[in-house]
Amino acid sequence: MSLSRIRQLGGQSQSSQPLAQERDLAVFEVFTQRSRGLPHVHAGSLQAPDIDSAVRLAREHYGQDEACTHLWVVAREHLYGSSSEPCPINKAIEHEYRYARNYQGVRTLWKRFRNEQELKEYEKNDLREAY
Amino acid sequence: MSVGGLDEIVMQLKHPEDPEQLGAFQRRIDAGGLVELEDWKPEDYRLGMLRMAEHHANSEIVGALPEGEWITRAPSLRRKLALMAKVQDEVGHGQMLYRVAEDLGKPRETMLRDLCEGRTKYHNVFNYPAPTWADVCAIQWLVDGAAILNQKSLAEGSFGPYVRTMKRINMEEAFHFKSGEEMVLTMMSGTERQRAMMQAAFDRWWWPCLMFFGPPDKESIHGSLMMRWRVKTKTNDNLRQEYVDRFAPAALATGLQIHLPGPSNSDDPAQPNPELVIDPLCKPDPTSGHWGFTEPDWDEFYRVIRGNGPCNRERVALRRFSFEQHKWVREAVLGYHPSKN
Ligand SMILES: [Fe+2]
Ligand SMILES: [Fe+2]
Repeated sequence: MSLSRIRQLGGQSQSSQPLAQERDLAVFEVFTQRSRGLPHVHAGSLQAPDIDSAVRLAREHYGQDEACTHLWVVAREHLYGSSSEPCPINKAIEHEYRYARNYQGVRTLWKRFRNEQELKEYEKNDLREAY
Repeated sequence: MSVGGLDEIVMQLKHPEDPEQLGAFQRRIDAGGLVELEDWKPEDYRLGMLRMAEHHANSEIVGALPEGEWITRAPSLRRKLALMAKVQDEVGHGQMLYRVAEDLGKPRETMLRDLCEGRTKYHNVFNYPAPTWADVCAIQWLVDGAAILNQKSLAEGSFGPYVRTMKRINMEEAFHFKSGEEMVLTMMSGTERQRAMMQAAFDRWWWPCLMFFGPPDKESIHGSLMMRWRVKTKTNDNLRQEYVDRFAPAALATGLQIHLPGPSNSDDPAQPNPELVIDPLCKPDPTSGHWGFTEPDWDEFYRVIRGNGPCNRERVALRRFSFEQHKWVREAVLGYHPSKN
């Protein structure tokens, strides 16, 4: 149902014309991008009768509260999430070897071969943000 | 960089574009802005970016093969788990990059088929053999080290979806690299036999790694326009120099020697070839501080690119085998429609 149709129905005074019921509206999730190049981040949700109105409303509500360059709107019924129960496999196996931050011992190994200054120079090119 | 003003860009285009749109596009790039999927982009940009993302995706997938062979033979449970995780990561990188490429207009099925049929390429470095465990150590330190250097520069690029993918991928590359350092340093702290094995592997990988960054800038055909559009942000020669500056002194410090290119020891790949000679140019320049190196064998590079490297056929054959072997999975996912058969 389009927004204008709802207004039209809403504008009718005869009781025989039902007002737009909430069940005529669907929930849409809104993802905003704060500036170009950044990922879209979940901002919240809204109700709207159709996707076009949802985009329009999202622009007004979420796009003006905080400046954003772009937004995505998705009907909630089209979003699928994983179950929030912890995965037993992840629990059973330690994955410490999967993360660079767990390789602190590498520095100790390097110290057998290089002095502090050389090591610092070499480490400059490491991906520090990963540790 | 040989491409400067808009006129020069226009001259290099294979697909003519509206100068106004081209100018606006260039201004955004010059201001450090990103290009998103829905934005207008020159056809040459789309094709260049697609070519790059597809080549990168192919490299991640084929790159998993030489190391994958070693999972069953890893020397400890910890190494086995880490290697499985690493190989799984690489395949995951391939998946993410195929998505980027797909959005640029080439269907995944076509990309996978083109790879299997030799119509598209992957990094040359994966056409070399990994006959010992020390090769796995060398790959994770030297090849992942080269990949990180390259990908850090690509993360500064202009295509938003590719840039964001690079940033994600690099987080995992950091683990591969640390694990590689740990393995190489463990080998070099070990017995004489372990050190010899590491040296033999280092000799096999050093030159392919220097060639990893591509031919010298003067021979590179895709260079300047891609630089102007920030599809690439550093030239092949710059990246190669940065690599040598970091890795040559580090390798020497561990006790490894840097030899000129030459064949492996034909009797035993775990022993270095005693006939190899030290690279006489591999030392720091007293004025600039940059490390020298002998020019890699570019004839070999082109020979391998054309499909005549030591493992080209084997790698592509294995890829084709998996592709055909897993056809039923793809069909099952897409759904079997008897009416359409
Ligand atoms: Fe990777
Ligand atoms: Fe990697």
